[in-house]
Amino acid sequence: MNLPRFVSFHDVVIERPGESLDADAFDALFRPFEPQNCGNSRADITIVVEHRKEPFPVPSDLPPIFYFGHVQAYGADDVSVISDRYSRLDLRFDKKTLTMGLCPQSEKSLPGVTQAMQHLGLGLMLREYGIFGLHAAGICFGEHALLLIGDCRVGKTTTTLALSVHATGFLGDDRVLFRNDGKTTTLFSYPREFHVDDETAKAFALSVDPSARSMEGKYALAPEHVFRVPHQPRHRGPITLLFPTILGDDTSLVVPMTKARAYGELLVASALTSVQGVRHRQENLDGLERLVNEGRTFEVHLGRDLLQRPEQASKELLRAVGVYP
Amino acid sequence: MAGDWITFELTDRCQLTCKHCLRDPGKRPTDLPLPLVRSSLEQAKCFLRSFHAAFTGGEPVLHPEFSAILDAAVDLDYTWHMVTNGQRFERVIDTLLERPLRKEKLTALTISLDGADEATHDAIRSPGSYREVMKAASLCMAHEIPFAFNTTLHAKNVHQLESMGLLASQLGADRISFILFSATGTKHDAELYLSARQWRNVMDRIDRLAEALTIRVNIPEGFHRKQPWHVCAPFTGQQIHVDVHGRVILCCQHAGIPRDPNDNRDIVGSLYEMNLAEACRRFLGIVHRFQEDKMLAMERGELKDDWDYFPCNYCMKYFGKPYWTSEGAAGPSAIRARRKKRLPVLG
Repeated sequence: MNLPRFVSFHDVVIERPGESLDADAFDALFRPFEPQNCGNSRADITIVVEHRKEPFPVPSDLPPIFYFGHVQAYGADDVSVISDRYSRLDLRFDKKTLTMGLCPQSEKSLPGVTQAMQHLGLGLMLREYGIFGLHAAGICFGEHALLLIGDCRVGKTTTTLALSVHATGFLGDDRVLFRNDGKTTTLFSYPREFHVDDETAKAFALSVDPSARSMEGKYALAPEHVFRVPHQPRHRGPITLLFPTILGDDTSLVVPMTKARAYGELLVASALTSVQGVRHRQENLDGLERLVNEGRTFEVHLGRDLLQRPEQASKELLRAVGVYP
Repeated sequence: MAGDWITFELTDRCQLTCKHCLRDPGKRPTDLPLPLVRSSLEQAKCFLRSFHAAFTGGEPVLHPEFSAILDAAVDLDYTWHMVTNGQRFERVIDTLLERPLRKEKLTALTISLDGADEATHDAIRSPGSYREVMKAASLCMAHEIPFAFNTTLHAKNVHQLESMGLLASQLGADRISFILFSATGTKHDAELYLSARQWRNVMDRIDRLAEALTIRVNIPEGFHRKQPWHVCAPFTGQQIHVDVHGRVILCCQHAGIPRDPNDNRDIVGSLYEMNLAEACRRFLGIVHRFQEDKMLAMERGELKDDWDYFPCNYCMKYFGKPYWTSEGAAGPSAIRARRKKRLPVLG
């Protein structure tokens, strides 16, 4: 399938590389967005690919800013570099270019680590346009949006799948973007593929390819193959923030959460992009604070009922936070 | 200000069987009739210039005409609040959303919380109750409805006093009120008993907690007073109380509690037989007699027990209800007729 060269991703025009790469994380991400005809004008963000036989060197002249999984990020005023010691992404904020330097060891199929670097790189670049990322799942119910916020393995995907029965649209499974204009927050979708474990796949009757099991024991699935509701590119309206934890009780429990604690949890979940040295840090922090103050905040203790009787349990959960599907 | 409030014990139905419950209802469920509530509200508005209605129970939501009762109050421009156990709270929310005026006139929903964790709360109230309370708090937050917690303290939960204050604060409550557990006349009195000295210590802890928390921490009537001639808010006439049988009574503590069947000194009068003005005049007579007798007892040096310096306890003792002594509970025993053979409640 030929993918468009230019795509408008939440009004940011992105130019993709001319060549096609297998397992390119951007293929799935940009698929639902409109192709853009740029004419002779330049895209807002240009993605370039470079290949080398030898691993790309780790930058020696840039200070490290954060470490994430298997990758290290470095940064200075106008440049950031993300490296897994083989491949490396160079972000030039002044030129708005994202250069994916790929080591031939990975041939043309990008390993999972590189895919994560792609998401990270795009996220850093989108900050130049006032768009910030949340480590969250997002799902819409008419005029309401629900964000499930938390680190890995807190139950975001399971809850999102259970809630999706009653939803009208989904924003994302693991990441949602937001922009705050000083008054209100707009949420933007991030429809990357998402990952489920065996138990969740079984509970929601998801067909998975056993050979495509990742090291973490999860399966990657395209959102459009899982959600019964359509992709919703953006949301502007009431936002409810849920902070799930898995307790394993029989039934799920919803408890109000203070704004202060919610802000703290949000910082933890967004720690990577709010550390010192990352550009637009203060805007990001201000945006997170506004998001918490605008929204309603609840802690959700996930029970087995979400897996055993997802339709009823998720309806009760929604009602407990004042969303009536 | 005298006559600010009028409080109705709407029903003696309840889904729970709390150990500290004061009510000792009869075999058949009783509900306060809507016409009597409406008439009382009209009279109170007319001559007392009352502006606030409070609803208790039982569980007030279980009154078969609860919505109509709310409408009777709000249509007369009353603000209102109620005390609820938080069970099946979605229905309360539905009732509030059904007619915006009901929500506009609501000052707060007071939810009963008796433990800082599920095990403690449910052991006192009923299994599953804690989760319902948490859900109720969530629903209040979601719909921007102000809410507060009432906590009855006793031996089984007093260790969690500070945790409960913190929890209330974290859940977004406007305030938490700590209520001194009154004797019920049941077997539970023995296991829930705290001595007068322990209660003074509890009061110190509440005072310190109130300074630490940003939400309001209330200490309602009942705790120790150095000066025994204390006049409580109900006895100043601030609140008029109507029990489930349509009688004006001294205060909510006196409603439905075990009594000496031959002692009706605390019953002001039935609103089926007299108007509210006459009931208020009689109320004053009872209060004056009580105060006079208490002054006499003080003069004679008869307030010897530590517990006599706990105003509500002294009042209960005076009117022949269960009360605390240094040895434990005394006074009449509860019958708990309904619990012997549980009857279905509406809901």
